[in-house]
Amino acid sequence: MAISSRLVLLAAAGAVAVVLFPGPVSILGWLGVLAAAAALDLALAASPLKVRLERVLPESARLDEDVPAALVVRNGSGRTLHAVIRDAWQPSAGQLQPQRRLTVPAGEARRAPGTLRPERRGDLRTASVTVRSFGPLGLAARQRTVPYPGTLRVLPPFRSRRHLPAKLRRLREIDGNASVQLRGAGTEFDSLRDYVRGDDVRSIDWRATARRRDTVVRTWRPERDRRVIIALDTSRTAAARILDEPRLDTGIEAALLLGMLAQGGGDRVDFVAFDRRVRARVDSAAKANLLSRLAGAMAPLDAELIEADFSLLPGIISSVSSRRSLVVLVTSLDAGAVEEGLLPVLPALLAKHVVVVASVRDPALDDLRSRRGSAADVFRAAAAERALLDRAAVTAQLKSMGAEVVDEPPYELPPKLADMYIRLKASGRL
Amino acid sequence: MSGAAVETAAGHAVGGNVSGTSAGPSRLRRRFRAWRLWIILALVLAGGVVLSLLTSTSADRTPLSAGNPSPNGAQALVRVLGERGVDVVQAPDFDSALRALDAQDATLLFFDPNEYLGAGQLAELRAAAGKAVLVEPTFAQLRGLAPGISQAGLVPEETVETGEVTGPRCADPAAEAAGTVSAGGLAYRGPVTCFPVTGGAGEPAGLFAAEEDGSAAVLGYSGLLANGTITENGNAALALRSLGSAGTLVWYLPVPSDIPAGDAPANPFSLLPDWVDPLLVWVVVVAAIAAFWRGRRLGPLAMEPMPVVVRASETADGRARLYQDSRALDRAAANLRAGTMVRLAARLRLGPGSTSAAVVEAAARSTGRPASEIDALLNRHAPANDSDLVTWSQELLYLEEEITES
Repeated sequence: MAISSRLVLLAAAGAVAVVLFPGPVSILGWLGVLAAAAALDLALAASPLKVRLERVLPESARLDEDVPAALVVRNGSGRTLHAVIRDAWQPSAGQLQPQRRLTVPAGEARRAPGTLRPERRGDLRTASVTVRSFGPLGLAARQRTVPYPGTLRVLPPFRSRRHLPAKLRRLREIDGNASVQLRGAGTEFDSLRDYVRGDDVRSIDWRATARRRDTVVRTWRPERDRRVIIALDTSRTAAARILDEPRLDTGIEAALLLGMLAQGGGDRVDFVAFDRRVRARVDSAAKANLLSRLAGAMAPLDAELIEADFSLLPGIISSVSSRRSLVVLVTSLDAGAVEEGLLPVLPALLAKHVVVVASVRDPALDDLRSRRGSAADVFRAAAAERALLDRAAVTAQLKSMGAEVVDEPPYELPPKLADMYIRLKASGRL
Repeated sequence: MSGAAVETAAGHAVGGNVSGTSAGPSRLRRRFRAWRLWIILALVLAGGVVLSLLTSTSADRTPLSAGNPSPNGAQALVRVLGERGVDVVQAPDFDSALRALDAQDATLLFFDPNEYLGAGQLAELRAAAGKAVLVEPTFAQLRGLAPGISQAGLVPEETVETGEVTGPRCADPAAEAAGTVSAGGLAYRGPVTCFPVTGGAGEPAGLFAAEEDGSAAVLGYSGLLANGTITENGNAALALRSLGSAGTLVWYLPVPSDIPAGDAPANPFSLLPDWVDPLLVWVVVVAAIAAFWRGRRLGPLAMEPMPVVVRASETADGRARLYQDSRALDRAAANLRAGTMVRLAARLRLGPGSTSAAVVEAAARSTGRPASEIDALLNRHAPANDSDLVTWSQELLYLEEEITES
């Protein structure tokens, strides 16, 4: 049961009666009037037990977009339903009108439009819908909460999408006729064409030239159908917020851009998220749209406060592909985590694959390092220097072992990782 | 309420069917949760009723009341008087007191510390009463009931501290029978003054005073009659003799309703119109209804699962505080030096494996400053205190900037 502001106003109007006829009679009388009116209204209200609900939701939505989330209310009772309806979405779903007023004639259905503006990636949930059915006087209402769980998967925003056209163009430039600029831009034979000035003389195909009596060069294109395996670390280091987003979200952006780029370059993309176990996996063998599969797999990921188990990695990689692949490890270069976890398993990986370690660099450290106004500042600068030196040492060690390292601030990481992929592809190292 | 099945669009029945198969206790608990508010309200109401029943014993707590058995009451005296054959009439108000006095020649016990009665009423009492015994009377009461007796102020403190006043030093038989009484209250002066408490100079004033003709007597101390102290000294003798002289005793303690209309002080609340109190009650009722209106939630609260997010530079901050708290100047200096060295080596294109001597030499060449000065700055200096560390680290930064700009 619930009451409306009208009943309160009616009660306030009773003050007039109390002033005109002071005494217990008017108080009790007016209370009786209120109770009778509320009871009458309750008795005449459409039963919320006979209301059927249907939520109309899209399969998934992107962050930063408005999502229509309507409720269809079917009134199975014999009376008109005057209802206030609330869908109990979690606050970060950003419901614009949590309470919706609706009138449904007997036996009919009405749609209560609603809009969600998600503030967070992941699975957003609602547990129940509450229906408050007012009587014809609008004084009192019968209320019922119907358990009706619902989930909306909010995909990562993929803001680095804007880099994709430029990177794809560069990928095409090294494709096909790229023998002018780059010797060794791929090792796969593509076609023969006439020599133009500036072509590398080493790429002249003498046999064909003899046949045509015209100088002919061979062109190569980068290898296609190579495997790119993106491994995303979701352990405690991914929970760190750098600038305004957690390391995990930056890693997701970078992985999405790299995945789309590699698909554009004709490679097969596999994705694995792991900490102490595999948390998400996207297989290159499946047919559906890669972007939606990647985004769908990444959406519910959250950083866990546990240490990553890098010894899982060789097993995961070999289960994906036994061929030589590009393994892109999106993790952090924190000295402790890398030295104890990654370094022991790296030689085994490097023996077979090309390994790129991508990490988000904290620009706040550079800021702290150069601020030296007071003693506290200088101690903080010293600590920042120590962190940067440790990172540099880890980076140097990884590089000396043969891995590639991309260590960039949040907004730079996705395009820089894409550049690294293009460079590796151009130099035929895939 | 949840007995009927509510079907959601997903096609599964929620309510009766589902909960029917689930365990009984959980259903009971759910039912209990739904009715919890009402159960709590009922318990609170029941508790309030029980509490008010327990506390509302209609015990008489008025001082010197004939029915009051507590130390400040006078039930003991009244009982003893009754046993001695005195007819004690307890008058609840002025009219009944007058009636009781009119009926027979009676003694009046009068105790009115709040001065409820006016001069006219006092005169009526005097006319009706054969003998009036006043307890701690005020000036107006004396004038109305015992004009021959006057007030003489408080009993001096040193007398109160001794606790008793000996020797009636007067010819009143009741006082002579008592001999000694407890000290306290007020002193009075009259044609017969007993138990004097003020000094010898001038007319003495005492705890007991009486008119010459015995039409009025004054007891200066209510403790002479009270249950708590009546057994001390000769209190009981004085009380019994002065009150038990006639066959009937009218025990009259004026109450607020005896205040004569007109000359009572106006109660400011009585000036308000009579609808104010009901209106206040109604405002409380409306407030309760409004509280229910605002307080009723539209369904349960929604939970927000919060992901773990840590500020990335927290480790650096923590380490900085450790340095500062342990005053690790050398370690901080070593970090700053190493950072500068690495960046200078990169800037001067010396490669990662170069020695510090090579860096110093290259820096000196780049800046034009003497190598010894740069060597002292980079390698030889060990900051002694915080301020030294600050200036030294700033010099390192200047050197870096100088080389970066060159």
